[in-house]
Amino acid sequence: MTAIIVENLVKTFSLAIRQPTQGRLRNFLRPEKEVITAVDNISFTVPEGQAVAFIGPNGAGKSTTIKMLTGILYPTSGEMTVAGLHPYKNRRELAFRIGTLFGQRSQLVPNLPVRDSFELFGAIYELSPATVRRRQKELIGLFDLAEFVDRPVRKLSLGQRMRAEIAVALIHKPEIIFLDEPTIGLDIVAKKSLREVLGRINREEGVTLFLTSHDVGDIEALCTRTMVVNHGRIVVDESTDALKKDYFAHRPVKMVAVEPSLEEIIQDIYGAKK
Amino acid sequence: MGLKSSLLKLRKYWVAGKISARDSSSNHATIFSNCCGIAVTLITLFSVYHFAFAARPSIQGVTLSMALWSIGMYTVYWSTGVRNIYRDIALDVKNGSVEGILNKPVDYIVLSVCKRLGRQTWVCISTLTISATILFLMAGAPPVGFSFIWLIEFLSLGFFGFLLSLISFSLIGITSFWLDDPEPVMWIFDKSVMILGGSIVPVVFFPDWLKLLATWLPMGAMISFARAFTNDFATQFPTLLLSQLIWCVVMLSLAIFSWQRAKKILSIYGG
Repeated sequence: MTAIIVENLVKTFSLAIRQPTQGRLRNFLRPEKEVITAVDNISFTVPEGQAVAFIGPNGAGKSTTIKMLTGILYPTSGEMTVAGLHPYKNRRELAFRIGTLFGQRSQLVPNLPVRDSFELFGAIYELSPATVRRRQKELIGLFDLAEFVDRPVRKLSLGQRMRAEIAVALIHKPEIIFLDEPTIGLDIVAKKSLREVLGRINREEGVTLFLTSHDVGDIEALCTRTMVVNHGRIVVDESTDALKKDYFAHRPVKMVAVEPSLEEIIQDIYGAKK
Repeated sequence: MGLKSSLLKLRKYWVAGKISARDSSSNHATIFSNCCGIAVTLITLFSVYHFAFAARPSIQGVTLSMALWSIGMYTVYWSTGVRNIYRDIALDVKNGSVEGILNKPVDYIVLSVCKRLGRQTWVCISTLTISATILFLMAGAPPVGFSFIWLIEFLSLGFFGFLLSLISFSLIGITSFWLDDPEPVMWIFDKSVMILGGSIVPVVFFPDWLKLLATWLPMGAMISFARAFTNDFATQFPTLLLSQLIWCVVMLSLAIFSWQRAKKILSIYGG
């Protein structure tokens, strides 16, 4: 089964550009428009249960693609289906079948324990209170949240918060989860822990992962396939292993020598004389 | 099955309100400052009216008790915090959170309204307790004979006034899709509500032309239930209700139209 089908997807934005040579009124009434192509005729399919990385530099069109796939943005042209549904036309039905996580935007209730966010999202996804309790128990175990599930969200570390964010996004058992920079700002330990749980939900629950990240570590640890996007076009689409072989054959290693202390320098200069 | 799924659909808004109430219960400073603010305002205002009425039992047929209860009703409206809905929506539009909610199975505007009402619960309960105490101490019992008809009329004006406020302030919030800052629109609207709603001077003291504006403009119609404590309320009730109903329909149509346009902007340009 195919989780995502994208055919010739295009998204352009039309922006008003202020002309410094023209007056304010003319700029306001008849502004010059510049058309920016954020996504330029891309096509791909993602089978169910696959973990895909969608990477590229800032402004390459990654987030715009995710927003179209989740039904937030309407494409300029092209076709797509996610879990067999048209994302924009069937936005409500699709919402029950996908999960989203934007690393830079929290969904949790800040002053209350994580448990309350489970209750809120359970209700939003129309789950019965009994189902929410059962699913919450599963996710607390899976994401190892027991230690801090009763602590207010604002008192959690960033790593703990991100684990809770993902757990809450999975309350309704989505088939596909879209992750936009999930490890942004996390330290090495927190990143490792997050990658482990994401890998586990992909392997154990068969959830399809669609991930954007600037961190090569996320991609190596989680994704079997990588698409590289630049200027709105997919420039590389192959397995992560092949990509590593083709492009990461030589890994630059930066070595920094520890500076000697003042005492060592003096010893070095005068030690021999002694 | 149909009933159960309908209940689950509605339950999400109830839970959102409940969680927001829980979330705001820790804001002791906000609750305390609101209580102090309302107490100082009411005591000052009521003292001025006590002084003005000291030499005479009534002014143009209006007793001190009628005037104070009329002003007190504005406090009831204010404590619901309904006006803050515009700020919640404007903030979500500004920081882009609105697009994150679009891919959830909820109606954004209804969710915002429920969250705001929930967030206001503790402020509302505390300020109402304070203002009711001050009102009873300084104005005495309400100056009306509590009949069933009066109660129905008072509650229906209260209900439709509240509904009109919800819709109007949501509409101002929605304007933030087009305006960089809806604050000037809000300022004009809010101050008009204060004046035409009789927050400082009850409508009964207004000249005829201003009374007409207070009756027929939405800013006055929102708080027309405050006029339930005057002698001519029974004769005025049909006009006041009609004005509220007309404005509810007009504002709701405008809000639906604007929200549809706003969703279109969101789906084309993002948050």
